[in-house]
Amino acid sequence: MEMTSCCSVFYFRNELAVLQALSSTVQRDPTASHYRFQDDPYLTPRTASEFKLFSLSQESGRNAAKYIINTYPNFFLKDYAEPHIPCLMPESLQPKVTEVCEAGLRELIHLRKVRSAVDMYDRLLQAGTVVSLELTNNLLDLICFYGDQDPVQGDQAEPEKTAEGEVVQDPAPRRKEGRFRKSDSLHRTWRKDNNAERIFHLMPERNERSYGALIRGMVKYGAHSKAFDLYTDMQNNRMAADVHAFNALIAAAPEVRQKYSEKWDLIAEMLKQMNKLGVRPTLLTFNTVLKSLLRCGPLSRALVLQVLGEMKALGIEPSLATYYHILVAFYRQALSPSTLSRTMLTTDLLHSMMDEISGKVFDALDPDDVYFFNYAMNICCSLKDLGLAYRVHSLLNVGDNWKLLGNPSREGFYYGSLFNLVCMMENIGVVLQWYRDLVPSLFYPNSHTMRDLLQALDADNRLDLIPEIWKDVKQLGLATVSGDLAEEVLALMARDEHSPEIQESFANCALAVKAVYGHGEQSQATLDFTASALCNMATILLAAGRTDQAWEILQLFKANNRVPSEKLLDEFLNSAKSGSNSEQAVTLVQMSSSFSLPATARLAQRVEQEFDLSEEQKKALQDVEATSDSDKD
Amino acid sequence: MYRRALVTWCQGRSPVVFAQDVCLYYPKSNETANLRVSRTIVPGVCRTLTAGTPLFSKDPDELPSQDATQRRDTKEAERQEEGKPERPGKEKLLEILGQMKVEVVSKKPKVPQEEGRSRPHPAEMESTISMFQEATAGVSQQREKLSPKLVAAASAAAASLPDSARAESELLQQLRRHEAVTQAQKATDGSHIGLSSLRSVRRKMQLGGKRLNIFTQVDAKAKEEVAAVPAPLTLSLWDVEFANTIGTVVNTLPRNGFEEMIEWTKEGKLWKYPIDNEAGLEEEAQVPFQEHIFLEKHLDEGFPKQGPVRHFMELVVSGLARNPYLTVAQKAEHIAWYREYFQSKEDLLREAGAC
Repeated sequence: MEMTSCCSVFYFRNELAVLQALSSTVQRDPTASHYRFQDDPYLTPRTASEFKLFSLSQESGRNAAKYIINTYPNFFLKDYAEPHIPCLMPESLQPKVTEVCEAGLRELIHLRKVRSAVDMYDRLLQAGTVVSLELTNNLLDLICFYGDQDPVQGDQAEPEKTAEGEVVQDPAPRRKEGRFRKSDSLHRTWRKDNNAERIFHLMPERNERSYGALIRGMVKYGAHSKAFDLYTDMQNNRMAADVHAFNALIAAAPEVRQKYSEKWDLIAEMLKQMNKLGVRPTLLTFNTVLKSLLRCGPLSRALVLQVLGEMKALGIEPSLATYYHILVAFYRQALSPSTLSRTMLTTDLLHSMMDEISGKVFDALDPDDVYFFNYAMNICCSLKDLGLAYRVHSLLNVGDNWKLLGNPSREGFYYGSLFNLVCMMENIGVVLQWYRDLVPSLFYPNSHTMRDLLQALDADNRLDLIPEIWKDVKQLGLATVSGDLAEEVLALMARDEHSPEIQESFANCALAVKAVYGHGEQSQATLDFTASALCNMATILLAAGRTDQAWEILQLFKANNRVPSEKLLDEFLNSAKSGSNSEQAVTLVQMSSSFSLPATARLAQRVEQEFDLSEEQKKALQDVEATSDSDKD
Repeated sequence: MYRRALVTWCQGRSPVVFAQDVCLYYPKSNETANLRVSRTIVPGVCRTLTAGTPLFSKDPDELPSQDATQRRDTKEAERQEEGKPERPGKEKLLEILGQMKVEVVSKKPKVPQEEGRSRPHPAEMESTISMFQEATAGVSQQREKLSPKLVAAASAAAASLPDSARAESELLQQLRRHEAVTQAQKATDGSHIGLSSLRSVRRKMQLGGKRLNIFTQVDAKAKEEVAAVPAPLTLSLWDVEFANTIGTVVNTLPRNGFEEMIEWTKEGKLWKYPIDNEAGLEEEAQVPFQEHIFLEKHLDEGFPKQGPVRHFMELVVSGLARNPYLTVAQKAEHIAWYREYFQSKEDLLREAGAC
């Protein structure tokens, strides 16, 4: 018998393959909150503000822990982990090398300490040491990137030390922040007496990297024309800029020219020079071209598609940012408030685009990628194209594309507009399906969305679901935000006649709504009663046959200085009649006269005719009539 | 609220209600459920899409549905059969054309249902054009070229619209363009007319057809050369910060426990699957086992060859040989410590007679 040895080689593509395979088997649970909150059910966020608060506090906790470890490294030196885990060890943020030497400069550059690095460099020069070109270039990179100021370090924002040396500090929480924040970069400008320029001029020899660093820094901090001057310098010295410098110049081009055609000419000129020098453009180059094209006015529409053609001809795969810029070029007028332009546009472009990119997996290659989904959904909403919205949404489910939706607030906008469109265009079954799917695990609707939902219910005659929706509204914290939702709910419930069970549930709901008004607990915001709300509440309660509670509401009118409508009083009369309660009827008439309603006389007459009244009651009625007559005169 | 408005509006008149074939993309599945959802659509943009009805029936004598429309019930979902099969008569086509224009549902409630051509409402130009686009899919396919009467019909239609010159050229263009479409549809079964044909009817924007022609095409050899040059090994500050920006902007928070474990693995906090218990011990793997076990060579110098010290050291060495937790360097360090210790205590040992 022959034994054949079969050795099956069982290998994994990479170390993450097992986990990725496992995670692909898990789907989202629409009834659960996001994974990061699943530690403690008490801390499941129920409203949008809670969500934000909890996620920020999680992040801030992590930052605080990191801060403590880094500030007191002597307590965290023992290394238990085998193999060693470097990211859990304290990081040293202070430079260790103290003397003036190149290694010190290198360390300071590594620690991103701009001022100290510049100081060290100056001291080195004074001491006469020749600093290597590469190190100087690194230094230039550092200065140009941070605009000649120290970066604001998020987890080390100016701690105030108390007497005991403890640090009282509130680390500014930011989701997934790196160690260094350049939040102020937008406010910084390129100063005239700049360290970067100074060092640049001091350099005995400069290479393309030095020029490149300076050009990029200048463009980043707004010194656009200087960047172009420097570029001309480079050309005179017969140096070839690299692709990053060219990208920066293209980004700066719209700023240095006035007319649209000139702007485009400059951009095209840059591209031609890139070609001449043999610098290959990258995805970022073309994305920058598109971004600058958007500043070129009406030229953008024609040229944007040509740029896309160029990319494809060169074999560069477009990213979502590319498509985003193209959409902006075509649709930015549609999304502007003027309605005239809105009708001229069709969704053709977006459809063709979706034809092209459906089913593709996109990587995050450009920070502008995250704007695509929101913008596309916005377009679908404005142009009321539901099928297209579904296509865009299906692209989100491919692979890892969900990551390109950005931070939670962006997600919220996206799902909000999708849900609004669905409410407008679909029947109630589908709307409710989406509602249960999205809320609240993916987004927290605002009152506008809830109102859309109520209208959808109304259009499809599913008003019986209103009590459930009201429960959701309360849980989302939208009940007291503005009185509109409560009023709308009450109005919808009071409007038509329904079957007895539904009236019963409406009555319960109306009482729940009533609890929102008036004086709640101290910490809650409350609404004031309005006349229409009270009228509707009373109507609902009467329709459900709860006359006692309805009468309580009637008392509230006086208490809150609101005037009941005549229709309401008629209804009360009807109910009093059906209960044969002449006492109530008389009270009603008296109440109506106390409000000086013009219908008092009519009501009094009605009571006289329809009820059996005792002597006192008749007398009371006559008094009322008398007063109302005298009022009329 | 478009749907609500239309529902209330439709209750009073005998309008034309269209059915729309909607491909519903449910969120979790990739299949498209083709449901016929009878919905009235936004006024102003009315698509006379029909599906399922044989628009291109081969029967040339089928009457147009003009009479049928009048009989229609307004409340239920209706299907407007506007596509007419091949009728050689040009008048029929014109009637069809006219009827199609009639079906523009504008916000104004009058919807003329008269025979023949009636003036279209001054609806928004775009809606007419789009409707016309879709509707011409239903036009007879027997046309080889545009008849002058059709041209006349188009120009008459265009005359009523605000921008007549542009509308006319648009309409004619559409007609010409849809010849090809309708010819292609001739052979197919009419019931397949659905969204797909209408997509082809829709003006397809060419994404990336034309080029700027600025960059020269890189030929294969140059591509190889470029590929042969290794990418720069050092990442500059700009690159690192660019990667950081992307990282902050993109949503990378894990959605379930497995994704969290993926994150931890990438950070180095978690063992890599499949578990290899020699992970992290790469340098140790290079050290051959002989160096761990045969440590006598360290005793060759610095220690006496005989005597209690040597005996002791041999015990130390045999203990170290069995110790799996120390690296070779650490073992050598142990032995070196002993070497120094004994050398410093040498006079004491000589006095005790142990050297």
